[in-house]
This record gives sequence, structure tokens and C-alpha cells, in this order.
Amino acid sequence: MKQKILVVDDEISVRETVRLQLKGTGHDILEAGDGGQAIAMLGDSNPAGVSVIICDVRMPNINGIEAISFFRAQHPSIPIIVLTGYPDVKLAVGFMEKGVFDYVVKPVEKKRLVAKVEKAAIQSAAMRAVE
Amino acid sequence: MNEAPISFEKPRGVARRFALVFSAALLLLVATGAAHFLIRERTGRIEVETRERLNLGLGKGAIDRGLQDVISDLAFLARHNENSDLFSDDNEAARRALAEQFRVFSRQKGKYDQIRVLDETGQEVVRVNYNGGEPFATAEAELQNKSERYYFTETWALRDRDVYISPFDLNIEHGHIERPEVPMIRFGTLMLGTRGNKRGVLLLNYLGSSLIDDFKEATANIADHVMLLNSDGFWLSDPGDRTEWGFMYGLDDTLAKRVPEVWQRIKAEESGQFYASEGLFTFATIHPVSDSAARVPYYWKAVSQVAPRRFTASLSGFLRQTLPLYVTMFVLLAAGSFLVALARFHHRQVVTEFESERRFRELLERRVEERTHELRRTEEEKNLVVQRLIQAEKMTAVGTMASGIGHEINNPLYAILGLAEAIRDDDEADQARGHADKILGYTRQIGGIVKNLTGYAQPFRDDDHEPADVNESIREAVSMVERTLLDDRIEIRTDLADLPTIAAYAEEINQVLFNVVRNGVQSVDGTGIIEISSHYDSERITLRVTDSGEGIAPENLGKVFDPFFTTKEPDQGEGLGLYVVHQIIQKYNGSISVKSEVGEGTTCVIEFPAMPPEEKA
Repeated sequence: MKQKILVVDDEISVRETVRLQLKGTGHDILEAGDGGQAIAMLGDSNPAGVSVIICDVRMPNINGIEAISFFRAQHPSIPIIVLTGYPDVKLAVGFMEKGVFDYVVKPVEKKRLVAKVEKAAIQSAAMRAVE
Repeated sequence: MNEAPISFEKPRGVARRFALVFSAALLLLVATGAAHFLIRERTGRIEVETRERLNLGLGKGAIDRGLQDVISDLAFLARHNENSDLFSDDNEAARRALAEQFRVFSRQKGKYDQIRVLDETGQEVVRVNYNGGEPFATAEAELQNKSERYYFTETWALRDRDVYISPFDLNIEHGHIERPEVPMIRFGTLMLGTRGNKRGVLLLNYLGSSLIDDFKEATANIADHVMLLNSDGFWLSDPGDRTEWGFMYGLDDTLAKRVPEVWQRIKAEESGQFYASEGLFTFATIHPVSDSAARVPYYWKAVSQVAPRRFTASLSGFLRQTLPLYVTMFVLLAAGSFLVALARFHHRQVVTEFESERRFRELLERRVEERTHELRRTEEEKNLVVQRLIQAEKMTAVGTMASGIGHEINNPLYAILGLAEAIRDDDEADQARGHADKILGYTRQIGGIVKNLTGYAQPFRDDDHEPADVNESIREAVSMVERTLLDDRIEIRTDLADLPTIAAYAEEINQVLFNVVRNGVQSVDGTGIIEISSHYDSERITLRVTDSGEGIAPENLGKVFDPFFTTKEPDQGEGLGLYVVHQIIQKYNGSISVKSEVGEGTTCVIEFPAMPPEEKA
């Protein structure tokens, strides 16, 4: 089932790599350059119908931590995969406590990212079905 | 030192030394006493011997002088009258004149019982009797013929001016010894005519008692033990109860009988002094007539006898006399010995104290030396520890940075990974070249980042300081700190002036600035500004790092440079940052100060002495 995946990262190279790795999954890839853009895109009602969010931590303006807080508060049914360059256990634990779906450290191999995204997509579909 | 052992030791220590000193002193005292006794005895003997000799000499002299006087009188009277008409038929006037002369003479001298002139027939021509001080001339009718008497015949037998002296005996009147005893010596000499012919005889009956009186007077000092003896050993004078004039009474009591050996010796020698069991004998011989003139040896002996007890000093007597002296000396010695013992004990004590003090001082010096050595070692160790802390802190900073830098590296790495996967998995050969180009670009990007990181993390070299560019260090630090920020809400502004280089390791200056700037960033919660400026005023380089953070509480301001002081969460560092910063700055003779107000922010001012111009690269 075709899903909409939002990639939030200030680095265009990262966004493009995610797109490249997920190309084979058939999901639509949406992009946001920072936390602010992503929040604006989802709004209160998620008009674009984003199913899974892949979010960086370090970003200008509104960083990943703040953006994820917003997502968890406004759209608790959307699974969030944190994709970060920080190999920081504490940071990871903090995100898991906030209810993120998974924590992935760059660089991540394609099949692994794909597996996690598909898993998140299934959960996302299940959550929507419940609603 | 501890007092207790000394006060306990003192009586015993003093007593032992006292016993030693006092026994030595006592030995000396006894030896002195013995010597004193012996010397005293010897001196006593010599004194007695000298006294005896001297007094006996005086006695002998008195007798000699007395006899000489008599002989002189005899000669005077004979010479003066021998040429008168005395021996002619008509001699009446001469006889009267002579009698008158003799009478005056007798009274004047007072020691002649009779003065007589006898003619060649032995008939008395003139005779004056002393009569107890009222001399008178005997009437012519009462003059007697004495031709048969020994004194006439002996004198008539003389030659020229010789003198006859009769034995010293007692006067006999009418066949009986006159009472009281009248000691008597008869002196006779010839009266010669002008041609030397014998005309008559002059006789003097000398009252010997005066001779004996003179002797006694001269020997008054030894009067109680001096005696006069005739040549047979009969006493002519004796102070004791021994019989005088014994030969006159037919007795046999003589010194020769009583002490034969002593008498033998006295008789054999002219004079002398010797010890016998009866005592000390001192003797001298008196010759009334010269031996050549005497037909038989005629002499008297003056003898003194000192009983043994008189010159032998007894020990008890000696002690009796000297006891107070020796008791006093004994007491003084005891007191002196005690003082000496006390002084020696104290001396010993002082020496001991001094010794122990010296040892203590040596020990102390050794301890100080050891301690100094230890401190130096500790200082070296501390320096080593500081050096290690600096390195450790740096590694912590590197760790902190790594997460920031990791993000930066991991992004291109991730891109490379993705592109490589695409090349591998897709058959879009036309796109592979573009992917590869991108991979090359990302690889270079990573290389640049790593270069920055390794430059910071390298351990310090120990060679000479190279000139360090402080502005470059600021830029480096800012760049590294920025990588640790999650977003761009903290703005780092720099205002850098032209600076000379300083003599320092650039890595260490980097570390200083990274720490200070990171502290500033960490103190900002959310949005804030960090301002960094550099300034140069020909003497020093001044750096200011100001943050708009929460500030530092006044009570903590003084502790910020202490090691392990931190107000941050446990995971945000060990509190070594500013401590290490301080150490590095001190090393380069710089200074750092922190001003802060809670809620307003913090300013950190760092100063480095600028490199002297001539050393500038």
C-alpha cells in the first residue's frame, strides 16, 4: 500500500539519499528543510496525509526535538523514525520515551531503513484503521 | 624533653658521682694527713735536735767564758805583782798593799773564796778570804805553810805561764765536806822573776757554783734535762734527783754505770747527738785546760737527754691537735664533692640534652629534606596529573564535539552509502557516473572535517612553542562549538582585531577557547548570543567571551577555576574545563578572570602577553 513518507532534514543530501533508498518501496516521499516547514506542512489536520515521519535532530530554526514534540502532541498516530548523525544513547532513550517509533543513526543501509519504514507504515495504517 | 625520667634519675646519678669524687678526695685527704703527720714528726725531731745543740752550745760557751775570766784574773794578779818586794825579807809594805788589792778584787769579783800568794817554801804570804762578801786579809800569824798540799806541788811543777786547775769538787773544812756544799776549783800559776826564776805561786779558790749558775742560766731553755758531768761520769749538775758530787761521798752512781753504751759514745766523741732507747742525747766536751798542758786528760761533759716521748709525736696526740682541721677539711671535701658531683651530673645532663637535641635536629633536617624531596616529587606528579587532566579534558571535549561532528560526517557518509547502494543495485548506468561524482564530493567533505578534528585532538608536542595565532584559534573554536549546536538559535559573533602571534602551542590555545566558548553556549538556554572579541594594545592581547546566559551565582564565582567544580548535569563534564583553561593560561604567563551577574550573562576576560616584536615571525 502506497504511503506518504515525510523526510525532515536541513541537508538536501540526506533528503535525496532517503528518497534514493526508498525509491523501490513505491511510497511517496515528501520533504521538509527544517522543523518549522514540517510543522507547517502537517498543521492540525495533516492535510497531506503523511503516514510516517523521518526526522533529523539538528536543524536550524526549530530543531528535531521540538518538532517531534509537536508531532507527538498533535499527531500521535503518525510513527516517527529519528534519523540522526548523533550516536548518542541518551538522546535515543529520550526520544523513545517521547514515543518515537524508532531511532536510526546515519549512515544506515537501505534494507534496514526500508524495513523500518515498512514496519512503521504498517503500524501507521493500523492506527488509522483504529481511528 | 621529658622531665619525668630526669627527676627520677637525679638522686641516683648525683649519689654515684658523689661517691666517686668523694672517695678520691678522701684518699687524698688521708694521704695528706699521713704526710702531714710524718713531716710534722720529722720537723719536730729536727726542731728538738737543733734546740738541744744550740742550748748545749750556749752552756758550753758560758763555762768556757767563765773559766777564761778566771784564768785572765789569775794571769792579771800574778803578772801584776810578781816583781814586787813581796818575796824579799822586808816585805811588810808590799804585803799590806797586796792584801788591800786582793781584798778589793775579791769583793769586786765575788767569786773567789780565797786569793793567796805562797812563796817558794809553800808558806802563805798573803791570803784574802771572801767571807760571804766581806773580804778580809788573814793576819800574818795565822798564815800557814801549804807546801804539802797537792795544789802547791802541782802548781810549783808548772812551766812558765801555764795554769793549774784542780778537779771540780766540794770544799773541805777541817776534814769535812763544808755544808752547804761549796763547789770549788783551785786555779794556780807561777809568779816568775825577771829572769824567769820561780819566786812563788798565786792561787785562786774559785767558787764553782757561779760557773754552774752561768751554765744553768745559759741552758735555761733546756734546764729540765741538761746536766754537767766530770770525766768519770759523776754529775756536777743535774736537774733531776740524781746525786751530784757522788765521788765526794764515795758513791758509785754515774752515768757510765747507768747507761754504759751511751757513756761510751759520749766519752769517745768530742761532741755529737744520737738517739738511744733512753732518748735523744746531745753532748759537748769542755776542756778547762788545754790537753797539751794537762798531765792527765781533764774535761767535763755537758749532756742533754730528751726522753723519747718528748720528740716522738704520737698519732693520738697528732690527731688531737689536728682533728678540728681535718674534720673541717672532711666536711669541706664532702660539700665540695657534692657540688662537683652535682655540677658533673648537670654537665652530663646538659651534654645528653644537647646530644639528643642535636639528634633531634638532624632527624628534623632529614625529615625536612625528605619532605622537600617528597614535595618536589609531588609537584612533579601534580604537573604530570595536570598535564593528563588537560589531555583528558581535551578528550572529553573531543567526545562532546564528536557527536556534533558525527552529525556532520555521518550526513555525507550516509549520502555516500546511499549513492553506492544505488550504483550497486540499479542498472541505471547513466546515473552511476553522477552518483560517483557526488560520492567524491562527500568524501572530500568528510576529509576536511576529519582534518579539523585530528588537529584538535593531537597530543601536545614537547618542542619549542611555535607562534600561535589567537584569532585562528578563535575561529577554530567557534567552528567546533557550532557543530555541537542542535540548531541555530544560539548566535556566535566574533569581532577580531589584528593580533601579533604569541609564543604558545596553538592546540592549547584552541583548547582554551573551545572550553570558554562552549561554556558560554552551555549557559544559554534556548536562544542567545555569544560575543567574542580580540584586542591588542602593544603589550598584551585581550580576549573577551561574553554570553547572554543565566550567569554564575556569586557564591560560585570564586570556585569556577577549581578542579571538579561544576553546576552542570553529571553527563555534561567532570568540571575540569576552566581548571584546565587556567592551567594553560598560567603556563603562558597569561591571566583569566570571570565577571558574571545572575540573569545577565557572563564575561570571561583572557589576557596573554604579546610576543616581543623582535621575536615576531
